[in-house]
Amino acid sequence: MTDLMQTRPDTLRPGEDALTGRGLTRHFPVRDGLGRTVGTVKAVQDVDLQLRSGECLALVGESGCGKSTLASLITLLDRPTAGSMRLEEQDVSSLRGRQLREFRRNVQIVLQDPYAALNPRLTIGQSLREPLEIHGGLVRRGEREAKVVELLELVGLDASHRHRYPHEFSGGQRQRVCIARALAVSPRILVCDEPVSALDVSVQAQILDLLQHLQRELGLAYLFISHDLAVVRGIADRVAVMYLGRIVEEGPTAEVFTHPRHPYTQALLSSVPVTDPRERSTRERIRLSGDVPSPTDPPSGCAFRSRCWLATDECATTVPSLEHVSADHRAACVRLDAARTSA
Amino acid sequence: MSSATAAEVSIETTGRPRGVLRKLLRRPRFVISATALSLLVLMAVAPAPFAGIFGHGDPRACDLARSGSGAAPGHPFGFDIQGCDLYAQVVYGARPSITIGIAVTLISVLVAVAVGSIAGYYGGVVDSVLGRVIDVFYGFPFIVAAIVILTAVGVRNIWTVCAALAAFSWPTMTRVMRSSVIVAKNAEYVRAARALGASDLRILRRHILPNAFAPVLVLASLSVAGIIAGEASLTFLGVGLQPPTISWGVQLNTAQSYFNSASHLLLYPSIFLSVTVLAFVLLGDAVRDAVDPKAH
Repeated sequence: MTDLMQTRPDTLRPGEDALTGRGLTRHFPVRDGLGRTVGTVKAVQDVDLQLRSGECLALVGESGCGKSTLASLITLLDRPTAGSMRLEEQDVSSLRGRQLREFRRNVQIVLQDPYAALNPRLTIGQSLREPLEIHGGLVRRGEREAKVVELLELVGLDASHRHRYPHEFSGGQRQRVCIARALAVSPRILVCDEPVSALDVSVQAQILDLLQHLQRELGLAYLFISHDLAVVRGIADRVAVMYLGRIVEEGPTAEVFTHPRHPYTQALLSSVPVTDPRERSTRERIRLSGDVPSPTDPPSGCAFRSRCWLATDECATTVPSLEHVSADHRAACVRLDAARTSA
Repeated sequence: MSSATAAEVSIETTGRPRGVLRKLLRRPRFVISATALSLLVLMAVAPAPFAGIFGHGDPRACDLARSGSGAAPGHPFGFDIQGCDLYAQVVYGARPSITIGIAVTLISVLVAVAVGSIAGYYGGVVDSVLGRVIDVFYGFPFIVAAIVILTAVGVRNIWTVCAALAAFSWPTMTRVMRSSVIVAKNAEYVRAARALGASDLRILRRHILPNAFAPVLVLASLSVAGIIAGEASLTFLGVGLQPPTISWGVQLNTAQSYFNSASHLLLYPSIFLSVTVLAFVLLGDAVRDAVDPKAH
């Protein structure tokens, strides 16, 4: 690594909380044709989140469960209806102007669709120079071209690519450019919002390798959002499972995958294809019935109860909170004991 | 129009304006239309040398004895109803038509970009208010509204005609601009730019305007054509420019009464008018293709 890409001296030691969300909630009003509010989409509901420095926390869940809204909240692209966010010791919930720009230097995002995330009228070089122009103090004008070349090489592209336009590249190459653009300001935290779901399977592995390589090289912390459990298993240190705007289970990846405690996590994991035929015969597949309920009108109590095979009357009245099931593993279910035996 | 496209080209390709020019020069559509337009614009700026090619360059040197007669040596287009040289008349007629076409389009594009960007980017109340104003102007039939204004004002020169046409030609472009700004505003690359910390101004200038301008550019090139035709229509209807002003519209207006006996009076001004309109349309097409990095 050259000195330009060095992690910053003020980076925290690995393991300390880098980014903390408390009670994050985001509601969207639903309006009718006359602009009257007729309902509320509860996209994210009372989410607590700790991203530790240098780790990769995966956020998994079905589409529509609020993962991307949470990503927008965490990157301050959207503001929460309630709750607060801290970057280390600083409350960042209401940052504006210069301080917001400083926050963006620390927290960057890689978006889902690399085909849409690059301005079609800018060359790759112009797109990569943009963060350096916005954060003018990072790299001096005369050195920006060199920095662009360095960024391209960092993500495995060729220096000559900077004169080309996005449409001349494949999806995987474009995602590399997007990653390079996010890394241009040397962030500490990278939010990856389904970074590989728009890519071919063969290319997914390359991008995941690149992300893992960069994490080691630069000491980045990732919030890695995905609906693909196989992808998550390979890259994440910890996993948080989301259902209908709430986190229902959270813990170290290995533990969550081998001993899922929440019925929803159990159902999700049982839907992952198994390659080993011996294991296939012994494993029971949990098939969830019905669709995800509408976030405008979630079930009372536990939002998952309408599809849960363990649901009782209590589930309709109590909103379960995350309880420790082991030191670092928490789940939100009133029937944790029953769930343990069912898995 | 030409200055608007030139400015746009430099926005589009910061650092590589030559690439666009080279691309344009390889397109026959551009070369032909640009050549035709350069000649017509030159003719509008300095009509005398063009008019003098056949030795009778003064459009006001008339001989009533030759009223309406056909081509003669030194008078390739023949004579108009006043016995003036029709070729010289047509050459001198380029100026008002082209001036009005370009001026009205420039005004409309400026208004459209400003109002459309603000309405589209900020949305909400701003958008609602501006949207209703646009709708009100959009609702008037263009020609009828221009007739009403020109009749009310009473003064008929290039500038009042320009003003009347401009007042009702900006809403279409503004609506197109507004909707393409909304499309660009919701693009992922704008979200990415915001996540990088880009200011509103930077996002508008660098990401939204270049991507939203292409449809307006095309519409503008069509609009030059439409406005030149609109000016001719107004004049033809007798509410535009008035004789002794020399313009294609005035010539067509006069020619309508003599179409049976002297059809060349209608033929030559309309050929020049059509070629000008067509050249603007082709130029707009070629420029649109050239500034789109995806078109090869």
